[in-house]
Amino acid sequence: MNSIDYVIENILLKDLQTPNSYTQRVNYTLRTLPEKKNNIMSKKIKFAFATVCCCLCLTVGVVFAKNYIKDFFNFNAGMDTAIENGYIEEPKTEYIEVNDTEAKIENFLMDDFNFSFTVSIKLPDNLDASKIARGRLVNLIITDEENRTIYCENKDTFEKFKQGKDLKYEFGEYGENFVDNGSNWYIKEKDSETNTLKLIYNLYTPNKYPKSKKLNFSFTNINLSEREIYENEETVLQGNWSIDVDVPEKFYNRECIVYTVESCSNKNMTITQAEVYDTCMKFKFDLAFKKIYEEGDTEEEINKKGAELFYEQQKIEEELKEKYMVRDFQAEAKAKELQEKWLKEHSEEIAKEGWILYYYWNSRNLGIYI
Amino acid sequence: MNELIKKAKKGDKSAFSEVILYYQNDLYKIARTRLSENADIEDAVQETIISAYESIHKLKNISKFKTWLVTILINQCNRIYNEQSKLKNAYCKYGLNENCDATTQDRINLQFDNLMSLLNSDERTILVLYYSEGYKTKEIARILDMNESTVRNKMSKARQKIENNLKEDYINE
Repeated sequence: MNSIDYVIENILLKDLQTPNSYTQRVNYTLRTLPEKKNNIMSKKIKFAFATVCCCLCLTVGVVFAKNYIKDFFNFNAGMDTAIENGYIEEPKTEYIEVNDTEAKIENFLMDDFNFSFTVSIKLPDNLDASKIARGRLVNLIITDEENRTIYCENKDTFEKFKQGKDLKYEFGEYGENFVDNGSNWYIKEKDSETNTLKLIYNLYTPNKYPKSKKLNFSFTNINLSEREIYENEETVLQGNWSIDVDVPEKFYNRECIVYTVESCSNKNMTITQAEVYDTCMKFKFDLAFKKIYEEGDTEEEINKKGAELFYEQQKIEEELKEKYMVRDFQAEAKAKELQEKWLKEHSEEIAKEGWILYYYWNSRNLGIYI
Repeated sequence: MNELIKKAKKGDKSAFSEVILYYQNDLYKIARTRLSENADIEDAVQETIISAYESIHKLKNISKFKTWLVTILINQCNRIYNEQSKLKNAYCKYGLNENCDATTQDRINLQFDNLMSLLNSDERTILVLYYSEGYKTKEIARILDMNESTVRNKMSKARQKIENNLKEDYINE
């Protein structure tokens, strides 16, 4: 391994920022895959949530069945728990009519990591809901009673919201006041009789959603298209919709139990966080870096050692998945920061000693969501 | 992951979706080494997902799932590339092409694009499969339908190109 390898790795190992259209296309493709007739999996998949960690002494004894059609399309398993336990609210709001188009918030769900809602849209008579394939709310901004921004589609919308208010934060200043990070949306239902669309939005954040008591949903246009994929040929329904919703106590009084780690049997692992929420359990750990390559190693030796390390990693992952019912791994931003910092501080040492971080870079500093 | 792939192989759509979502960033990165337009990358990945879903029951060794998926993706990229000769030499370099996708404004994407712009299509894919996805040269040869020695030669040339072009920027600083 020489310096150029580290330069290449430093660039190629980082995740690229994928365009929103790519994520939407993947989600759309997955949603529209046909069910297989020979699907032998039972629709009732029970997830044992009882977890006894060798290092955490942590027990969460909830067993639940996933036998419904998920309204909120999200692969965070915590959402399943949330919905199945009735952790969803149908607010008593009326349709708000602007320019012959009516909109209201049908239902929503909010916890520390998930915020999803359904908006019902009654279309004007000149449009046929059954023919609409795609819809979106334009210039959408969701704020709460303390003027925190839960979601904001673009900077211009934020600047308009900011006018006349003494806000202590700016657009894109992610944190407790500006929580927004990403979203996906799609049409869940079309009702020809009432000429109504139900549009679902899923928002997500690496931060935490605040414990808001009131929410305001505002958007200026509703754009619709009869084609699923292409962005042009949209019908634009203009207006300014502003919908206020009271957040139920069960959402804003949600609690989180933080566990303290006393010991861990795996010397290579440092547990940095263990928390239990209404909707999920979350723990994070760091795995130690390991020196595996020596200067002068041939490519064959490098491959062999790399493969050994890879299998070691897989073994740990499999153990976590099977033993503790861990369902998914997500690399945390923190991991990347640490890696970059570490690399910066040790670049000379790395080049000189031939240390390799390769298999630890993609996802070895893990946040685990059950 | 193996458990999910097993379920997907038995026809579980939800498990298949989870596996694809897990690999979606890798698929994007690999497709981007062969196609420059985001719309084409999206087409290639979409076709890959559909094709993989339809034929996953034929997959014999689930530990080779990712290699199998990447092979399908490369074939889809090649098909789109061949259909669209306009893509020849179209890989955009920051600052030189107004049609660069907006995501190249991102620093990491920019570094990636700049590095990739130094290489030809095969070299780009080989480097990403080797450095980013962790494949051995033997596996890359199988995925790209080349001799292993060809892969090694191309990788060596790619390294040399990068070294020549980036030495001043990265190494001597």
